[in-house]
Amino acid sequence: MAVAPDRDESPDPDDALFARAFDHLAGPVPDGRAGWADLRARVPATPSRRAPRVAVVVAAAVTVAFVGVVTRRASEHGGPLLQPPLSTATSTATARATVPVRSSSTASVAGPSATVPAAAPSTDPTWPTPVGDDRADVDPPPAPDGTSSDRARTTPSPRARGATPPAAPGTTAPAPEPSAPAGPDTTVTPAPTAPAAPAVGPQRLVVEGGTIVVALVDGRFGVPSVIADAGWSYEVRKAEADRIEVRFRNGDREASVRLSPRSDGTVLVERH
Amino acid sequence: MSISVEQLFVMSDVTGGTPALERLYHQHVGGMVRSLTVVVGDRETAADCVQEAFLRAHERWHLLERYEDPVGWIRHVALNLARDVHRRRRRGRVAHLRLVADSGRHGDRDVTAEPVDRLAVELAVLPPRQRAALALRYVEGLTVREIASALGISEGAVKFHLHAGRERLRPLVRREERA
Repeated sequence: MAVAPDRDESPDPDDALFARAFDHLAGPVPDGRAGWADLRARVPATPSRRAPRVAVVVAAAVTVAFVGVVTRRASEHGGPLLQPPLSTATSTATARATVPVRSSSTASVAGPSATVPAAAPSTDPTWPTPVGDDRADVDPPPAPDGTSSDRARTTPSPRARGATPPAAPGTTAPAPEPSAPAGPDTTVTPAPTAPAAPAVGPQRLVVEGGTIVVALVDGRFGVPSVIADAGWSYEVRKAEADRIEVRFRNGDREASVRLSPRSDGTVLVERH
Repeated sequence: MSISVEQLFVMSDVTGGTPALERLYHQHVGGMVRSLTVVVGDRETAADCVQEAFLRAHERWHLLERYEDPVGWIRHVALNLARDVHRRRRRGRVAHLRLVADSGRHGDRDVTAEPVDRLAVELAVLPPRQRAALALRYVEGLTVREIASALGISEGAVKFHLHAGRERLRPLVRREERA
């Protein structure tokens, strides 16, 4: 190959020799047609990496708008701005009336300023067990008097595990329902005086392959977002009013989750 | 119901930009594979690196098509991939090439049937940037500016690497030419 002179560099007397030697080392010119076909064939295998930025921005905007609507509705009804983590409920009655909230037997964290009574474990076997410690991942609800309950999240009191948290002095936190003692095998029924909240913020559903955010508002449910774990991709197989199916895939591994609302206001989760 | 996230991804899966990328592919893949063959010393690996670089370009084409020099980006990625591969293989390859070269020097042709290429031996022990600069210059015929863009270094550095590499290989190239 003859090397074209470069204005930025003075020519070398042995340029031709170098060009011949390197041309010999480089070998023949490959055929690019097969390569392009191969490249095109490989592209659909990674759909999640191909999402253009515009779509990502629009998707984020849709999610934010959805969360905003949910938050506004919740605040209009005096409910919590954000749903508590899966292991914690603001009110057992509220939780049962809307989305089932599964609690571990050790229930909620109670610090000195905790405003959250311990929730009894849900008896719904279809609700998946949260992975890891959800308290670290989900913001706790703000205290009714505006005080932050961050302390309850960041500095859990070891003695509070599995016990009914004491009411913090000087707070306006509601006392735990006397009819709903915390315990590993207690089924909690809604207190007759507790109003059922019509809107509940998004619930995180951690499954193999990723996290699904499920929201239930006025009996209608939706999936504001799906986050695949590293190495996994996902696709929404069905998006109907009565059923949403999300499939996670990592090579040959597959995990499918089917969500469908039930008449009692809970969401049935089936994993395949 | 806000389930449209995935649908948006599907709807926005635009492939309208690929004809331009396809044109670039056919235009440059040959030169890139040949120059990377010199850099990594292995044609198959070179082709894999170039293919991977174009695949990444395909995934980001909505961004790359606005670039002034998308080919420079692709070449840069391919070179980085090649450098990683070469780094892993360098020791074994240099030892192998030296064995081949020594067997030819002593007339011992039974060690291997592979032809002795002293230029490949010398190239394998050059610093990576010198080797890449020489390959891009003499295989693809790139200018100093284009080489600087591909390697992510300054034009002055490219001139230095070209000069140093040439001085290292010059005696060998001249001797081979005379032979």
